[in-house]
Amino acid sequence: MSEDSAALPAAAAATADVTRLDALLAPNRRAQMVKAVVGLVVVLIILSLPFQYADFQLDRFSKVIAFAIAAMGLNLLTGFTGQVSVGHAVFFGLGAYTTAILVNDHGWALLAAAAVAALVAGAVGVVVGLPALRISGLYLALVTLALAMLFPQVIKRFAWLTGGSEGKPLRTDVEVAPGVVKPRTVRFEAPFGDLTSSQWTFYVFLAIGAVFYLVAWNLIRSRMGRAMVAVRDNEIAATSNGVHLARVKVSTFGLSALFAGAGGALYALGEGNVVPDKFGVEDSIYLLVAVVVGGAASLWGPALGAIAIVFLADLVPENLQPVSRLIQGLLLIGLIIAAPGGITGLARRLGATVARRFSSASHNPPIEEEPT
Amino acid sequence: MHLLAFDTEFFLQRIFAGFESGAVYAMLGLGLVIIYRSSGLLNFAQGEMAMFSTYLVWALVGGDGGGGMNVWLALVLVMIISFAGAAVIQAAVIRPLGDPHLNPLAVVIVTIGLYLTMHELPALFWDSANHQLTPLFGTGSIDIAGTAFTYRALGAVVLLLVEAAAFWAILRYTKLGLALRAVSTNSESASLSGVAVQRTLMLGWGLAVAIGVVAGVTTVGTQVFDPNFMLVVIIYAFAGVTLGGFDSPLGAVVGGLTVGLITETLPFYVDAIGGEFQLMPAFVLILVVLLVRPQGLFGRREVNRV
Amino acid sequence: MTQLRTWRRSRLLAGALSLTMIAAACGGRDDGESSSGSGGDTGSEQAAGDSIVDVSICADYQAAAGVTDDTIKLGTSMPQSGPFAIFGQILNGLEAYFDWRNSEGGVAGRQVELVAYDDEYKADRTAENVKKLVAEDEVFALVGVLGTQNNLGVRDYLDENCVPDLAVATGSPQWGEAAQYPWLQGGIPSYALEMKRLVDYLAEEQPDAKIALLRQNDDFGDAYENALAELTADNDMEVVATETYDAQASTDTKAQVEKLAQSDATVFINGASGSQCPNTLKFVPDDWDVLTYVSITCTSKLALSLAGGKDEGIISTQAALDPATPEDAEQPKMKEFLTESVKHGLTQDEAEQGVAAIGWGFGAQVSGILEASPELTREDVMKTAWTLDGADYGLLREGVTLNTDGAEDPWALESLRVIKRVDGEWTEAGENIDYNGQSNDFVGG
Repeated sequence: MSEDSAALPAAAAATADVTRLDALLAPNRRAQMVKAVVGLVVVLIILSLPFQYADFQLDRFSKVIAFAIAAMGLNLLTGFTGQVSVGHAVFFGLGAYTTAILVNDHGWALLAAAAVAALVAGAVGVVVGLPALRISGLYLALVTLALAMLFPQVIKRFAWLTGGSEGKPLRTDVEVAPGVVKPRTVRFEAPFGDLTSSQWTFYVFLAIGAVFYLVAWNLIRSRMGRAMVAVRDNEIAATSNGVHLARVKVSTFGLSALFAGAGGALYALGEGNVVPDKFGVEDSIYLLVAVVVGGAASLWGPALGAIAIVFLADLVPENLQPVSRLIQGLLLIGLIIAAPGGITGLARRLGATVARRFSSASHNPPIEEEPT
Repeated sequence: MHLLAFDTEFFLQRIFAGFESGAVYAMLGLGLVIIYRSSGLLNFAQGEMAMFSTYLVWALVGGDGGGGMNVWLALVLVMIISFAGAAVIQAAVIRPLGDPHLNPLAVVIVTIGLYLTMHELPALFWDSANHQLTPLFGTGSIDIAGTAFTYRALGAVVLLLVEAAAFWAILRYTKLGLALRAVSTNSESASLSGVAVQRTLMLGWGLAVAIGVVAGVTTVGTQVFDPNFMLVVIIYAFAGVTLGGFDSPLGAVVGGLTVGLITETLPFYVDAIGGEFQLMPAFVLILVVLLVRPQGLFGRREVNRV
Repeated sequence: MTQLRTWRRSRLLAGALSLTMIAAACGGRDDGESSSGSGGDTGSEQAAGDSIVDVSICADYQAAAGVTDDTIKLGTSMPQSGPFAIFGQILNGLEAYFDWRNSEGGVAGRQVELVAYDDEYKADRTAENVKKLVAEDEVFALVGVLGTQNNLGVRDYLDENCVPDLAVATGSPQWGEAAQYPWLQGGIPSYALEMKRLVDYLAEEQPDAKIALLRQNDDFGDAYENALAELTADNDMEVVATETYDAQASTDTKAQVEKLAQSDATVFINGASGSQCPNTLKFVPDDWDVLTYVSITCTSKLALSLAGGKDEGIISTQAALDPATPEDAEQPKMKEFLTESVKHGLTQDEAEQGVAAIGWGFGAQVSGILEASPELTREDVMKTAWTLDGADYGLLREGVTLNTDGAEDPWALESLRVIKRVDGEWTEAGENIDYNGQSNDFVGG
């Protein structure tokens, strides 16, 4: 974990004890401890969400996790490897539709369907990644934008499989009373305790999200991760340093699509229904926005961005609702110019300032920033 | 949807419809090319800027019923307004980004931010309901060789030719054109040689968006429109410049017309595409051209910047 | 420039503030809900049609949620922004209706509180809104939720929790599945019924009609196409050409119309909605000699004033009064609408354009059901809705009434007349026919 915006109040509260702490701890140790405490508090808050919110609100937090996983995947491609995709809702949609079809039409177990859906999206990602080898930068953005426009039409075209424009519910027949069989939305049911379906779903999603976070965290610190960043920073230099350009790009594309597909699968499971127009340009833009708002090349930034996606409608005051996209647009432009590092970038800068203040008290150099 | 027997008259109609749509794509494409040549970026907000400009024309003309300014006068006036507006936008939000090819993400985000902003402006100032604009060319048609050609379609092609000629002349004979060419060739040496690069870029943006106004007004023509009318059109325009080459004005015209011809004929003769799948040819075209001949038909091969 | 920047900063600030406010407002899980139990058998004198309503299978039946001694809370989700914002006028009509009724003493002796959320016509937003309306706002019932996709997305949820979804603002034939989904009732005629009335009209005027169909690539288009196939199977009519367009992709219908014009059709069914309906009329070539039909969703003055005069001679079907037709405007209930709605929030234009009148009608329909219900429980209200007999709520034409009988007759509004556009106004071309109980018979597909 890295500096967190929530570190500020915690740090402020700690100021009173600063002198004593100064005597006890080296600044690096102290900074790490603040981080650990903050991290623990954040984890506890997240874990307690199911007991603070009603089910319908909690469902939206579950949706945040689904989007966060997809945004994390896009970030691997865009933030770390420098390939801009304006069409990641396509992979998100592939995951969602594969899940819906397997669950609704073939009665698959939910998580098995989600796993296959992620793999399908990943495989398609590899296929899309091949032409992307030759198409880069703004041109790739153009191709993926066109792809995102096309995708809902493709889904509608294959209505026999996808349910067409009406969408596809994830349903199963349930005997609600003796002799009365009704179609009901398929949901996660807690195997133990008296958690509601929404509460259990949230924990399941959270666990899956954590797994994906760890995968990404390890990936970034691996040889592969360094190769990705090298490709982003300078392709030719990377190649001359022995990075296999094609392999890195294609596998990142596939992995990124796999993340997006997994996010889409969870979205479908949480929502219980998928419709074609959800997976077009608009949500592709949202995913990109999540990456930028959170901070490209930051691992937990996309999660913050995902919160913005889901709660955006609530964030805009009601009398400005009709022009909410205008506000989004202006915010985006403002953010990219004023704070290119996104929220995490801002937090990191603030964190660094705070850390500097601490260390200047004990005449130590500022803490070096590390990638999150 | 069954395959129609080949009908020459109908085919001619389709070809002409292709020129009409293609003229719009070409006009938008010219704007995309100017911006590409001056700033080196793809402006995803181009269509929405034209859309908003069209609303300005509509407002000046006096709304749905007309009764305000003459539509041609309004068009010229809005072109001037758009020119200034786009120049300001360039200075305010595009210039701070630096070299677009070094930071494509920032460029995409800012132009998409512009896209979202522009898209909502009509709802902010007026509403997002359906409207209609006094047409530039009336609603009649003339009969040539048994086929009815609408004034609207003829007008679109004429406007394109005028725009293309004006564009060529500006590039060829004006100081601005010279500066634009110098800037697109090498911005560093251009700035060394005394060309005010930033001002040129601003003017390039202004010019691009100003000619987009004509595309917007032509697209609307006699139709009912709402703020969404440019969303798909801009993808076709992008397909056109991709085909012609991002830095080639000639390519924009040829490419735009070609895309128009494809989209207006193919769905009628290939059942698999059909009416609801019109975007497919444009997408395939973009993809194939970028893979096989990234510089397009008339573009210059790009030197990889390191 | 400075002004812009200040504005932007204040927006950012407002955004941050509302984030904390949401966090504060959403806190506190309400575990103390008391289950009100089953409403009991209060409607014993009602007909057999109400037997489809069985609250014993509800997951969590709240008989009278949202009802107090002096208020009743209703909810709706509709597009108020985005490409389909024009339908927001339905909401304006709905609000004006309840505002008027409240000023007159309320509905069933109670003040109506209408909670409305914007869904931009997106099914996932509708689902969020509806869950919020049911779980947080605890509305008694939903009114006029718009869109087939949107209602399908919440139908299972509402069925499971036994929350009435009344006067649903689409005519999908799927709303005929009352036995399976007794908590949802359509608010406009079935799209299939429109085709039935049209074909009956053609049987008199053009028994050998050759039909060209422009349809959307969605449920609405399926409904038209399937019903037409069924209705033309055993007569001399024939569907000679069909073209589809994507209503959500912002593409126009020009190419489709020109392709249809190549057929030898004598009747053109313009199954486009929204702005593409008047546009489609404009695309019809002058030399194509056809009788054009527009869908019931495209009969408003608002839509047709944009057809550039090409609405002359077109036909459609109609069940309700039209505020833009002078003779309709003379009817007492229309006079009431035109005067009261303007006093209660509608602009003069909105009142006359016809879309807001639909919302007014939905309000009247639901109010009528609430008032006819023996008790204000969800069970009784739904049972009342399924046993309507000759109800005359809102702006229905003379001789048109609402009749239902559970699964046997799930469609409330089944009377249609044929109208023709002459000199910019609707005139009768075929008299009102009552198809009571038949809407499910020619769905086809």
